[in-house]
Amino acid sequence: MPIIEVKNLSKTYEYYKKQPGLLASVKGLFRREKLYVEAVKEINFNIEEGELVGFLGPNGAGKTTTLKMLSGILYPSGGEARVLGHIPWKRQKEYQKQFALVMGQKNQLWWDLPAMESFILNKEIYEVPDKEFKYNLAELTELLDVKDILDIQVRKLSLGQRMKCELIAALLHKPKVLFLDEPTIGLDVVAQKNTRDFIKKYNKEKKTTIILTSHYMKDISQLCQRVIIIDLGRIIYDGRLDDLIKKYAEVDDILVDEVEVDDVIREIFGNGGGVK
Amino acid sequence: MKLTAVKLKKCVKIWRLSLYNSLMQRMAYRFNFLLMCVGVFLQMILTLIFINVIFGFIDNLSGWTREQALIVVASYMIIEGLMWATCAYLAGISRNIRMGTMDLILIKPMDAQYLVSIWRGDPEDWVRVATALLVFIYAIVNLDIPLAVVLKNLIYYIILMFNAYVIVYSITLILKSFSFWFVEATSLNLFNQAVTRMSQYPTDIFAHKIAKIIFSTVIPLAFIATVPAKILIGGMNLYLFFSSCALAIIFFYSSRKFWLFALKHYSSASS
Repeated sequence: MPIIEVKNLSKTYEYYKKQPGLLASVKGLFRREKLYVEAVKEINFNIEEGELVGFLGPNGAGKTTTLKMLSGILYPSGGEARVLGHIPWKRQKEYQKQFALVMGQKNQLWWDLPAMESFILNKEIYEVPDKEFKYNLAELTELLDVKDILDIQVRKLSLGQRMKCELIAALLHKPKVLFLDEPTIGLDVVAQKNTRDFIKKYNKEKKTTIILTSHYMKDISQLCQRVIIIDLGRIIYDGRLDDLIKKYAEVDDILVDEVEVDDVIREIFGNGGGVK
Repeated sequence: MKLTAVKLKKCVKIWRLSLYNSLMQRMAYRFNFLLMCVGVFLQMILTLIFINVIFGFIDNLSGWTREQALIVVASYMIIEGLMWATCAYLAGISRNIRMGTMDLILIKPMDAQYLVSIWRGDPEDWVRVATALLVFIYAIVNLDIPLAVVLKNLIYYIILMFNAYVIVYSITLILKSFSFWFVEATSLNLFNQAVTRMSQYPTDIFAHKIAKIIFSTVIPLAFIATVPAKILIGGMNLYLFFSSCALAIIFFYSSRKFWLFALKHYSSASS
């Protein structure tokens, strides 16, 4: 039975348009043209236990929206989803204790305190027993090689070090499902590689089911066998990465690693494939 | 029963940790923290000077003597101080919604309302509470009420102050929940402050009939500081006492329902 089941999942956002200029803003005070954007349109996919799936697409394709629905942060406009047998947006504690979400552009650590203080708070929130906490923490700090920085204010850490601490904070309760939203964004090449190696090892050892989004092809090609490509809210590809790369015939594998995911998608599916 | 006790224990523990973290966070910037404490203290001194100036011209304010009015002022300060010291994150909700930083709190396996409420407390506002308690004691001593009477009324007063805290919390939560739709909602902060600050003086100064009705029902300002002070000074008034309890329950229940409703409309920020 799949760990993650998504059926016809949709999300529509409301927004309004404004012409440039002050006058338009004044007009906007009284009258606004309401517009709707379908960020996610009836998507379907299943993910089995232990899979590490790449979730790709250009900016605004609907990746983060999907992850947020699967995390229970957003209510969908339509469709169904089950993760570990739970409906995410019901926000049941049994579910919330079994998954984690890491966002490369947002942090959950207390900014002016050492990361350790955030870990301790998470330990209590996730009700991790003392012994398990110590064990998990030792294991994660060892794996990520961050023993020396746990007592330093988070804001003083480099982006790479901070991401490592974010990962620890998210994994201390041993989630069965992990959503990684651009965990390598903004990191330098070395830090990217370290993060990647860690994700690979962690997935292999713990059999954690992982959905990973990234703009770096290298992340995807080295970590995922299966990719789901979403664009303008629709899934345009769901299958093996190898097959996708074969379609990207003009360029060899080494070069594939160096390009951005968006370029690969654009090259393969073209504008006809729905890519902007 | 045992389960409730365990849950309660967890809530208290998380609250304690979040208070510690807030305090440690503030102490990381020593001078800023010190200045904030001094600032809070000065703010209160100003209010007290204002009261003194008023009573330099008049003997009573809508029937309240200086010491009696000071009890109202102190009661308000205690409630305001406690709100900031325990639920400071609520004030910043709209910003956190706009930036999407609340997302990572919403996925935690605890009641979202509880966590969002206690996530941060402003430690410098304990100075507000402490100063207010001193003003309170000063006023009581100068009131010429027998100690036995004060002690008896004090029990009612504490219950009424608890209700007042619940009412202020609920009003704040309801107003803040609008942030889920408005997103940019600094206006709500202003509105919230305007509303609650009106309760820092005896509400009898709002003499108009309609004002009286509004301030004891729709926006029950009277029950925030004036009613507790009234009962402390004048003794038990069953009607006011039970009204306060009923309002606290109604407001808390409604704010909870409204929060849950608003949360469903949350659209979050993009990555």
